[in-house]
Amino acid sequence: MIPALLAASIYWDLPVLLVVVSLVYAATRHDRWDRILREGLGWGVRIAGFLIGIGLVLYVLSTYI
Amino acid sequence: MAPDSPAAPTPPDAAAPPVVPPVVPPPIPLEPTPPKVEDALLPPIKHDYPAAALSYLIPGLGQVYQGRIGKGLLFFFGLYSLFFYGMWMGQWRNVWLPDVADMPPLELAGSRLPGIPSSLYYRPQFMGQFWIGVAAWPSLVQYSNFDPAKDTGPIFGAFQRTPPEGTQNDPPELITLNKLQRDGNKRWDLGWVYTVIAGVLNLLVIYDALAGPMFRDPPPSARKGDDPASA
Repeated sequence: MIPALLAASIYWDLPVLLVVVSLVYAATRHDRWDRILREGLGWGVRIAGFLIGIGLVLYVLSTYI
Repeated sequence: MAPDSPAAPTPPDAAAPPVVPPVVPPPIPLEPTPPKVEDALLPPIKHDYPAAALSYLIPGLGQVYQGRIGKGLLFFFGLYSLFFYGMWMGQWRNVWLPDVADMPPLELAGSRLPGIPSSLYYRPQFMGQFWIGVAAWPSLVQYSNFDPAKDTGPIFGAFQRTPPEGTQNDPPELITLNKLQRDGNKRWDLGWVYTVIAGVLNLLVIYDALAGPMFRDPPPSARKGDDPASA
């Protein structure tokens, strides 16, 4: 699994999307930087967790079934 | 004993279940809940249409115009990074408005809609990409000056111009849609998704310039001395 993750993959493009979407969306909800960063971090963690969860499920399905 | 006389009290039954007092619902308030202190301190929203227009043209420019420079720079660098990163993933061939003069036009409710409605029907991604602002305007220039006999358009060359579909006899250096979709490891498709997300996120930025953020903070003067809760 590790060599597959290290290979050139579209998954390496996802952090750009994750960071920008989290920060920009949080900045449209608040004006204060502490709140922007806190909410952006929260959205980033939630999106990353969702993507990792979906990735693990797909990996398990494609490997063992 | 007279028939209308009250009956004698029955002795308490030891096996009877205990009496549960009835649940009384809380009284319904007759007046709506008063606004929170923070909301009461906020001034009414004033729509800033010039700032919204500026944020459409260039993401974050309206916020800079309003004095919110940090947020404006965040929007500018964030959305332009996402938009041009997506274009780079698609080898700069995934933002365009197609010329559909030789294709069946869109028909809606019995009426034919040629021109831009038909182009958007064939390339609906542009409805999201358009909202990034001037960064997508070369597509409109290419669309209005499209000549199928030429390989490039005026001013912008091949930038944001409809790429050729491709044939089996194309030279290897020619970038065609068939090659991008067949050989690109899905990055071409993911690239246009990034550009669409950047455009749609700019709609939120435009609204932030128009009406402010969703959660507003009371002005400092109101927070210091005008707090009715402390009175």
